[in-house]
Amino acid sequence: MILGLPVLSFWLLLGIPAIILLYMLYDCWRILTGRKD
Amino acid sequence: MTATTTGAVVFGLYLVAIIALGLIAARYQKTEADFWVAGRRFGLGVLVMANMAAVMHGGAILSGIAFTGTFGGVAILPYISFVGGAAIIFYLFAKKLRQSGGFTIPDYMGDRFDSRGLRAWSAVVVAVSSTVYLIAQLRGMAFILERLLGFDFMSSLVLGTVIFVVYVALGGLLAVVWTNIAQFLFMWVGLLILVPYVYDAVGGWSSVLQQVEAIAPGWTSPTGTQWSGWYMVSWYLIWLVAYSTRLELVTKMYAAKDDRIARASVPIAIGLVMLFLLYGNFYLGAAARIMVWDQLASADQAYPVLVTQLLSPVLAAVALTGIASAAMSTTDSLLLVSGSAIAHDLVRRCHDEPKGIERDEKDYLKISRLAIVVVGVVAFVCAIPDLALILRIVSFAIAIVGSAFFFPLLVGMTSRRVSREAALASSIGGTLITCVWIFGALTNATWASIVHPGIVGLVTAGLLMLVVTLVTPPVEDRAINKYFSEAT
Repeated sequence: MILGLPVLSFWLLLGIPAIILLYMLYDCWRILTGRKD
Repeated sequence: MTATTTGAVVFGLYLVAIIALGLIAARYQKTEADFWVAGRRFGLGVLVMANMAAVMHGGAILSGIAFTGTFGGVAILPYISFVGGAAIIFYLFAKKLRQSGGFTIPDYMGDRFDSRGLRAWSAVVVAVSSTVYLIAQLRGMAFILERLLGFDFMSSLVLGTVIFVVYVALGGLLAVVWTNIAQFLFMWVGLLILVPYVYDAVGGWSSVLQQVEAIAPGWTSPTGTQWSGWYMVSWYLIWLVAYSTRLELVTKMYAAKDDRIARASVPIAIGLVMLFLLYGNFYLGAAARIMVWDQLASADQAYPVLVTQLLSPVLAAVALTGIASAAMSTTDSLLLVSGSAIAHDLVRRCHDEPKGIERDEKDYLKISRLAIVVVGVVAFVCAIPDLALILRIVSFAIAIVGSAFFFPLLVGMTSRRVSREAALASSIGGTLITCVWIFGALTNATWASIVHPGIVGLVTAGLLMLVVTLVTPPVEDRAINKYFSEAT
């Protein structure tokens, strides 16, 4: 089902914190595996 | 069994369980470090759960569903603040706090800036702000007990306070974390019971969002149904600072086994909290807006009405009791934070050590427990009268803590140049201006309504930090080397 524009922007705005979080989780994985100090 | 009896039985079992956890945790208490930072024994799993419980509580679900149901998509903004605040702790604070080996934020302030005055000031800010917040929490908890168990307000207040003081005084941080995890799991049970019923009634995510947009146009837009751009920006800034200086979260870093565990626990916990809120606030908030909004006297009733309408009486009682028990999880953390400011920071670090008074660890353990009892009694006495003023002050408590600690933490962790005088001026000046602005807001002064007190306090604190640093010398290397390992 095609979502309307307001609904799309809802998901887009949710994407900003999601991307920051994913980057932090990537760094977290590097810290735990000793790849990052 | 009726819903009320089920609620009372479930809640009674829960109270017995947390006292039992307190008694078990008491067996691990030998030193002050055991009491305030659980002997720094927390592994990744426990610390992640402890961090989640520090950020989330049952009140976040009740008010979250009400808030999201009312305003819609703008409620995504706390996510950005959440993640921004977590990123600051993750990248800048966690490692250095854990490596410094302190117990509390006043420890950091005193050690990093080599200032007993700053340590004492910070301890007073922490003790006062946490105790004021605690007073409001005790009243809220007494109301919950009143409704669940049918006791009068005074008996509920006595029962709740005694239980909290007993298990926190017995088991310290270990008891707080164990009980928080139990409360958190209980809250999840309360929420998950609802899933199949809500799905049956309104369908999955896309379906819910389209339905809610149809009945409340603008609900799914980034600005929600009624917020202005400026209000959103100031709100976002306040909460970004509030999350990065959240005492219950930041002080947990001291309890990790090592600095890797401390750092790693932050993004994992925040990721889980975000998933939790996506379901617990957005999905349920939208479902409540679609299904029960017309029947509500106030938005705060959204979750209870949704539960009562969808579940059988007994399941509804379990769901409500789960949320109610978790609504109490902030109370014990506040009691602990306030107690540590008095016993560890004021008595031991500001009074005993400078005067060369030596006591053994057993004595400090007794003093720590006594401080918990004293804070509990003070908060209890202040919670008896119905002071609306306290509730209004609490709504500004995050602004006071943010103004006092945000810049000393941020700049102190990242720059060797910052001076002791700058940290003092920033923390004291920022806090005082915030308090003046709060007073203006409480007395409905026109000038105070232009901008949130927290914004004024932060701008003042930031400017003072910058200007005073330029005209005063940095703190000696001897004091700051443990925060800048490359220099050692």
